[in-house]
Amino acid sequence: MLGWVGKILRVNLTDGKIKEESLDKKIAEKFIGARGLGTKIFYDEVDPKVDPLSEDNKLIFATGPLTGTYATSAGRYNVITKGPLTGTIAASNSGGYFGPEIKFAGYDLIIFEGRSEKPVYLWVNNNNVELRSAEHLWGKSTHETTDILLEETDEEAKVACIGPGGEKLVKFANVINDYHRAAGRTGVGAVMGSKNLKAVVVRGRKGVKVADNDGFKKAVLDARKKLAAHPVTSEGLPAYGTNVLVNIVNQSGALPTRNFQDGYFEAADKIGGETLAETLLVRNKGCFACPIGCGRVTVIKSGPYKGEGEGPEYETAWAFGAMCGVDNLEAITKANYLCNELGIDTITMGSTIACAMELFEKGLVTPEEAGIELNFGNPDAIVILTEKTGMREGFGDKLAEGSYRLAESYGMPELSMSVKKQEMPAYDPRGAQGMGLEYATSNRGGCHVRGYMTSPEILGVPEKIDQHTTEGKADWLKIFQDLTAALDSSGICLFTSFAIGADEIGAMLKHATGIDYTAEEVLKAGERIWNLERLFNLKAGFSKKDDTLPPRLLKQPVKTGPSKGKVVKLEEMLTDYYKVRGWSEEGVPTEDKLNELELA
Amino acid sequence: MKVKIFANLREITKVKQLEGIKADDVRGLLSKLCDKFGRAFEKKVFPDGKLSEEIIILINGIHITHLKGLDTSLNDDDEISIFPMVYGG
Repeated sequence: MLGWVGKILRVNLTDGKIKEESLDKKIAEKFIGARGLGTKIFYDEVDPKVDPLSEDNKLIFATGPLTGTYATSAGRYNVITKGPLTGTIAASNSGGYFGPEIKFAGYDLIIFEGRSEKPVYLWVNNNNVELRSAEHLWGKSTHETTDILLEETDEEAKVACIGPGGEKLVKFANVINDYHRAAGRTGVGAVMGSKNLKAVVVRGRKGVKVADNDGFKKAVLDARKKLAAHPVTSEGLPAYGTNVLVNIVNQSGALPTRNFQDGYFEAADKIGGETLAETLLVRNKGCFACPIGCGRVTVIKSGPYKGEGEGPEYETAWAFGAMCGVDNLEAITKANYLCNELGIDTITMGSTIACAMELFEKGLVTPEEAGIELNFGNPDAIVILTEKTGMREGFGDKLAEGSYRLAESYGMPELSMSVKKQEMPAYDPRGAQGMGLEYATSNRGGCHVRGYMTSPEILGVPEKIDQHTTEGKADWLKIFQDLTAALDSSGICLFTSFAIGADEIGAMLKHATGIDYTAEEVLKAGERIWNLERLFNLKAGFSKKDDTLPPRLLKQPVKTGPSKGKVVKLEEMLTDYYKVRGWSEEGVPTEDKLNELELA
Repeated sequence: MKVKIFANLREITKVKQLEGIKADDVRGLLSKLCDKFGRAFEKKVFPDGKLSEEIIILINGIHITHLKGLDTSLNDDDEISIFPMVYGG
């Protein structure tokens, strides 16, 4: 096979057996790779009713056919499993250098099954693969773990690992690779922890072969030219990172504030990308084969939050900032560093603290219980509670369950700003109706990278549509969801989609694999993947009633700013969406649709 | 009215916010800003004499595409936000 390596590595952690298998070319063609291919294999092998933290759950590290090639921004891999936060299918996507190294070692996917009795790590040194004891690493941060592993394996190796958060089964623990990149959402790190798998270390020296070198080069150069010509990918993201969004989203009336009690944060400029560039930013940093370089290398030189690392990204600046009413960028950045070292998701962490703050202000959580005054706006609270959560200490043990279970334990689940128990990110859908539909229908719970309606609704790309209306939003969303599913599956970064689309992705896939992927085929594969994820969730017990939003967003209007008075009109969009998707009124894919997508 | 400037446009204007400017409509406001901030600003906003597609202008949070574009009239209590095209997530 070309583009793909054609090999799967299967590791049984219960009996320690490791074997190589061939990748089925027909399946790879239909599901592309990474998110799609990993989900297909997972769907075929795992009971959707499985307890996510049991040994019957599996954990798949999956690359795409473009991962590790010189296609633009081709450093991505996905971690696929059933997520402990949501109970849905979970595919969490990360960049850096780890994904390509899996391909260089000679594999497309690594499948972990069972559970090791004692902590272990997997050392993949080209074709030499072994499980090694990780008892000396248990309890160590992701940074310490990475340092030690590079020393005891190969300094050129790449490491993906969990921190204390994953070991302690924090419901939103992540997998951290290359020190600072995260397969961040849905709690994939907790699944890794439940298997006593501390890390995956990979060193590979093989290149990735493509089908048609000349054609591939031309397709990649074409895509790169488009990225270089675009102001966002050539200027905006390198200069300010993703955090440049804080101000525009706020000025548009869609920045969720103080646990979504409002949609406008008065101190937004103090936590935005412009301020970050003026204060803490050292330089920008790129992932494998990426000309954009949106990563932020930062340092806090002195004071109570002293530290160094990477971030914050937009979502993180919002989660610990506007969402918690905090305008101290140093405290936000410190909380970000702690999340990376502890191996926990910044979005869910920030949103869960915000939920606790509202519970506190309503008198349901006492200062004694929290161990701190938990009013909105307290910068110390976000730092202290992040650390306690990652270690499951004191009140942090409750926060480690995520905001839904936290709020539910006080009898007020409606105060959790989550969908399918995963916290929504940094766009208030009362100020962007299509984002409301996106959250409600995302296959992995509250999430913005499953169909980024912010792009047309707020940023005006590919064209500006009215953020406050509902008409036509379902059609837009379907295209975004399908394209994103295909792009995630190819192995390149979502941020390229600002400058390139299905045509360019199809051309790169075609010349890499030798299979005639047209733009239409790319979108069809994306739709197939989307429907397969939906089928998994339906079998896991989800239904139409779960395609909803917290009551606050449906009933309680925004108080200030440009979206004052607005709520999400979900019902009318959802009915339309099911129709556009070719699903029944209950949100179930019809037989015709499944036949059309060859999923029957 | 209050005019807020963001991202790399600030590198040209060297200020984040302006108050007290008077203009009847968006076209008039931009013309005054071009006079004030010079050619570098004008090149960003009107690269070929037409409003750049890479500039986002909000009047009280509403994109001028959904108003009357450059002909949108302005009042003294309006807040105008000017951004270059940005993206993230």
